[in-house]
This record gives sequence, structure tokens and C-alpha cells, in this order.
Amino acid sequence: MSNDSIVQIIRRSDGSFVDANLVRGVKPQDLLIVEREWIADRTDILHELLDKGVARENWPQSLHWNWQRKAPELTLLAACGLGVVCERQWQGVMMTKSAPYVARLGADRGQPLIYIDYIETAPRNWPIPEIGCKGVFRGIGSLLFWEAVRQSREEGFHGRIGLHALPQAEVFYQQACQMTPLGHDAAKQNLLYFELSRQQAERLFQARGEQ
Amino acid sequence: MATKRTMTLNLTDAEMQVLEELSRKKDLTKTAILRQALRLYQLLDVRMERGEKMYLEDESKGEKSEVMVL
Amino acid sequence: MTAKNNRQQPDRDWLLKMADAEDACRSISVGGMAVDILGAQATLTAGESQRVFGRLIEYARRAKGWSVEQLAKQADIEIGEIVDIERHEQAVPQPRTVYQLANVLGLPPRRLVEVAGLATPHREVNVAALRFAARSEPTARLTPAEREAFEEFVKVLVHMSDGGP
Repeated sequence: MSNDSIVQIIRRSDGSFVDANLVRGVKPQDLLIVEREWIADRTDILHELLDKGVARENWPQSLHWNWQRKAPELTLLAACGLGVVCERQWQGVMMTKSAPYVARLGADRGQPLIYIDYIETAPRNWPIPEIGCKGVFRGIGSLLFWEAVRQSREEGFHGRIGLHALPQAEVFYQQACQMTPLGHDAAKQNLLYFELSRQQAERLFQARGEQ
Repeated sequence: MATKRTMTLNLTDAEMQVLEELSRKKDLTKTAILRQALRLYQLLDVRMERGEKMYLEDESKGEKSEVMVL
Repeated sequence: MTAKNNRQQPDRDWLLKMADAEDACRSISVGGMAVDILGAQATLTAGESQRVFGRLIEYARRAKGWSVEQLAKQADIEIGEIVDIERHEQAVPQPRTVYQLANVLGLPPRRLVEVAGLATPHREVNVAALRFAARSEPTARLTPAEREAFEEFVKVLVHMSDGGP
């Protein structure tokens, strides 16, 4: 029995809402297909960035990622893969871990949370104005993030989330997702660590009318 | 979630007490506690099979001690 | 499949708002895999240098139709060292090795030294090296695309040698 569901994402060209498949239970072999689909776009983007002399600090910071390397981790019970498929292509993927991470923040300290290990939207969806890339779909990252919050609630973790954001993504998680930054983590390449507390998650659920 | 199967678990009084205490402390159902325990055990097992070691660190004393997992 | 018509509009409003926030950032990616390029200037990292150097030597050797043994003999270098270089398992190649390889493979020695990570590379060498790395894949024979990538990279190295210090 499939645990997948239908969600909607936004087509950039005309702003229309398009049905997509939210895949719960992404398998290791799916990640091999994801990267096979995405590697060509990554390479094309790299070429364009080089050709146009775009400054390195403006390159998308996940350009050199490779989901195939993460495939073995999905065999762990603690790991969970979620993805969005639309028009028969993977449009975004996320890997979360339900162990061994616990909250560091305030009243939630020591309580289990869902840790978002990795999240990325397909390179073809990235708007990169310097090379004239408009992207195909939008809203996928937000959908995946919200699924992580839901997963946290289903696990009994009350919506608690933890993640280390790439520098380009810090503003998104702090402002749009209303997470709390807890400082740069030397144990994780000095990336800024964010948490969504139980209380913050409850506010988000209320704002979305989900209770 | 994947299809689930049911198992009956026989626990001693002491084990049940620990389970209930963890459940209360972590604000998780007893089933969720056991799930977490299983996930953690598998994670440790996989990493130790790779040759990694597990340590606990007392930050206040700056001391590390190795934890043996059989 | 349950219809969600009653909830669609609030969901859509939320998604529009969040999508705008996503677009305002260059990326929403989370995770440590990208650490290779974080804070990096437009220069090859040590790991990238090794990969590019190894790939270049391999392609140059195959372009001449030589085996590893033949290259080792021509360049008067240990076979093991060439294998390590092509598999980029050697930390940094010896300067003598780089010069020997440049001579027998017809590559400009001073630029090859930069690609090998023994000297700070010029910007053009960096750019060409990154492009070559992105386009080259390890296979048994040079495909036409690989040959093209290899020749373009060599062209830049030669051009830089002709005009530069």
C-alpha cells in the first residue's frame, strides 16, 4: 500500500498550481535515479557559471552535491527519505533522521527531534539570474520542510526540528520557517544550527489551521 | 509508514519501570521509546562494524571514556 | 485519494508565501555535503587539484595510446607512482615527477606544476581545470567528448605558457 500523497507545487512560467506526488519512503535505489536525473543539470549550470564568470560565492552552495553518496544511509531505521515527483521527474528530496538527535534549545533540551540531514530541490528548479536560469517549479523546499515538521509530530516529537543550514539558506530557516539559530557548530563545518521548538511548531500548525 | 506487525513483549518489573520512566521523561509513548532504542542500537551497530568507537564526554571535566557495546 | 478542496486555498496561500521566501534566498539546502565549496575562492581545492591532475595525466597517456607501463618507462618514473597519480591517491606529486611527465606527454611544465597543486594556479588555469573536471569521466578509452575536453584544457595550458610568466 502506497503511503504517497498528492500535493501541489507552483509552475514558475505561469504561476499555476500543479499536482505532484509526495513520496514517503524514498529508497536507496531512488537516490541513484535522483542523481542520474540531476547530474546533467548540475554540470550545465557549472559550465554556465564558469562561462559567465560568476563569482564563486554566488554559486548555489549545493551545486557539487551527490545524492548517490547518501543512498546507503537510507537503510538505517533512523533515516527517512521524502521526495516530490512531478512530470515523472524528482523535483526535490529530503533525508531526515529520527535518532540520535536531541534538542539543545531551552525547555525542549534533551528531547528527541527530527533532524533534517539534507534537503535539496532539483537543479532545474533553481532560479539563477546570472546565467538566465528561471527554474521550472517553486515551493518544493517549503513542502519538504513542512513534511519534516509533520513527521516530527507523528513520531511523538511534537514538531521539533533541528538542522544545519548552508549560509545561503540561513535567512529562509530563520525568517520564513521561524526557527531559532543556536550558533555556528564547529562539529558540522561551522554551519549555523537551527531548531524549531515544540512551541514554535505549535504556532506553525495553528497558522496553517492544522491541529 | 510501512506495514506494521504486532509483537508481544515480556519485560521484568525493573525493565517496565525503566520504560515507563523514559516514556514520562521523554514525553513519548512506550512504543516510541522502544522504536528509538531500536534505531539507536542499529545505528551504533552499523558504525561499530565499520570500526568506529563510541565515547562519552564529560564536557565539564574535559574527559572522554569509551563505551563498550557488545 | 481524498479531495482537499476545502483546504486547498489556505494551503496555496501558504505555499505562495513560502515559495517567495525560498526564491529570496539563493538556496534552501541543508547539510554538510557542500562544504567543499563553502568559503572557497575560485581556486582548486587540494582534493580537486589531485583529481584534475590525475585525470589529465591519464588522458594525456591514453591520447598517446600508452599503457601505464609505457608511460613509466618513457618518463623514468615508478609504475606505482603513476598509478597513484591517476587514481589521485598521492597527496602531492614530486616536482621531478611532474616535470618528467610534462616532458614526455608534451604538456607545458610550469602550468602542469600549477595543476598538480605545487604552485598557485593562474585564474585561467583554475577555470579550465574546473571545466575539465566537470566534463571528464574515467573510462577505458577517450571518447570524442573526452578528447575534446582534454584538448581544450591543454590548449589553455599551452596558451598560458606562451604568453605568461
